[in-house]
Amino acid sequence: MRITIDDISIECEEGELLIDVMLNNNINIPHFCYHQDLGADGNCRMCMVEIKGAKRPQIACDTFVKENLEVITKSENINEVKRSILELELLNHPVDCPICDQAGECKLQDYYMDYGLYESHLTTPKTKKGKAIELGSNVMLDQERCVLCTRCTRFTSEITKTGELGIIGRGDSARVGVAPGHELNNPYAMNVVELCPVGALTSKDFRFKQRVWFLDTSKSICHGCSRGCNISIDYNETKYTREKIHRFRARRNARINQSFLCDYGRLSYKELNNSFKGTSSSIEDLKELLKEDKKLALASPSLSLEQLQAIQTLCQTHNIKLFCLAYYDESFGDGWLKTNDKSANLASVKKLGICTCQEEFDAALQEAELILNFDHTLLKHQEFGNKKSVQFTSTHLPPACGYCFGFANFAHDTGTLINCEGITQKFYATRFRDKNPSLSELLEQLR
Amino acid sequence: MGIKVVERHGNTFKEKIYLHAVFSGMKTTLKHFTANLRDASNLPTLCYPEQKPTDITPRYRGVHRLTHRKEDDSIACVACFMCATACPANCIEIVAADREDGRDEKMPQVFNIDLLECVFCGYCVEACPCDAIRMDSGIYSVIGECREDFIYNKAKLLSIQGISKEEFSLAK
Repeated sequence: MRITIDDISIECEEGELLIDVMLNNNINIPHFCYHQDLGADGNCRMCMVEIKGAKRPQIACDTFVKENLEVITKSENINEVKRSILELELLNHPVDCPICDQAGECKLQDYYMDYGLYESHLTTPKTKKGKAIELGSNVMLDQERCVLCTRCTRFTSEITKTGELGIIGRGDSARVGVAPGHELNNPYAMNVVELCPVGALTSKDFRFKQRVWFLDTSKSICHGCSRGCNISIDYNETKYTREKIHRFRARRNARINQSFLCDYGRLSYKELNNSFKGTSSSIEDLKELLKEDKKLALASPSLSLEQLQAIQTLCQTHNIKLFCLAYYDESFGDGWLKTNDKSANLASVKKLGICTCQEEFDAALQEAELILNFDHTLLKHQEFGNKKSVQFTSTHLPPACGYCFGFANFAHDTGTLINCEGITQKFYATRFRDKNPSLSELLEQLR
Repeated sequence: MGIKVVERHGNTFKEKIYLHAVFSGMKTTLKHFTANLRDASNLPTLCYPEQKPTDITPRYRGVHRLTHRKEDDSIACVACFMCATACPANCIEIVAADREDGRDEKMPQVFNIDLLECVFCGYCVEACPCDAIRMDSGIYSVIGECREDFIYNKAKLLSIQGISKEEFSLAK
């Protein structure tokens, strides 16, 4: 089936929403309330388009495509309609962009510059509402900036089914809020920050840390559990501060995480800023050590496929027994995005045929005289008595008596992960190199 | 686009020997020399630093200052980073923090201007939505003993007085 949007012919499926066709084909269509993973609500009216044959402008989020549909998104009439709608949405807006964290990625700002550019007609004082309200779960609410698109309330009522958020009041005084005495409290709560198209819901964790236009983004995969949710890593390095990762954002993948991310995964960016800061031991010493008998290696199941392959090759050439134990947490999974298996890449471990048996590992650990630990949390802080140990770590470790090698964490490395459903995905490094080499580079030196 | 044909000068004998041009130039120099010799009070040169300029107006782009609010004399800056964004020399370092006095939500915890890097273009003043940064201090000379002396911090910038009539921030 073909439709025409702004004189461009586009192929689409029967029964698709017009707005979905436009979004999938990167046609600019302003919208607040529609979200591809929350569905249509039709309350903001920003996605008005002209349809040939229809008397009045229609909203694209409530129009299904028909054969030979002719749509116009840009015309004097439709821009005037959008300008009027936008003026209504912005009527009581406090225009406090200087102190708003959303500035720079705010739909109100974007659409005002595209369609608005009017002088306010308001002669009475603006309606005052609550500002900087802590809703719980790291979410800050500013009711004055809200455009009442109900994305957040639809998320809590339809997706998490916890229903904490609601619209209270009518007309001018309508506002988003929680019931008195209650707070926003669910393991996916911070998604509302990202869903909010304006600065009404902002993250307490990211609050005032950076202006978003200073941030760079790299495509990555969350390493919090085996789901492999797609994320964007927002980071920057300024003249005055070293490179720092400031936040994770969900990256849309309809097959895995839609546009969502659990709070655990979202806040797991913090450990990426805690890279190994000490000095690595000498590689010559390690070469000497590898001549020992009875060697054992334990690899983290969250390492990438490439890293695991490099470790496997090393273990085969030096006759080291290689193990990989899963990070299993019975209480973590929830049947949606979180899985009980907190290892990001256990599927790759199995694919490579690395031993994951706990009993065999325990027995081998008793016998071993040299222990190589590749970033596994089990052995990271353990004392080994008279046994020799080598730590390969992506996080900071206090200076210990054993040998220690730092390697770049997943934000500074490119690699492949296979998630719990067997989907293979790549993640990419940020623009800035870590001071530590990547694990593959490190192991290359041992050859 | 039209082309304007310009006559080429310098081809005549008089122009080629240069003497005429040299003497007419010396005539001007000599005129000024004798005039200044007769009456030195009209010399536009200042014996700086003993003599200080007297024609510095509020519009002169001097050292920056951070303005105060009229209501409570607190800092007017809300740490929106507009100045740091506009700065072509990238010499402004801001770290934002929550504001506790309830006036606004945000304020700078750190506000440093590196005057050695600053090109005194005035873009930060243009960009500021809160009239919080100004260059109306009238200070045209900054002296220090080490590089750190030229990094003006928040306290220092707040303490500088302006020479314009408006002492406080004019932001509403």
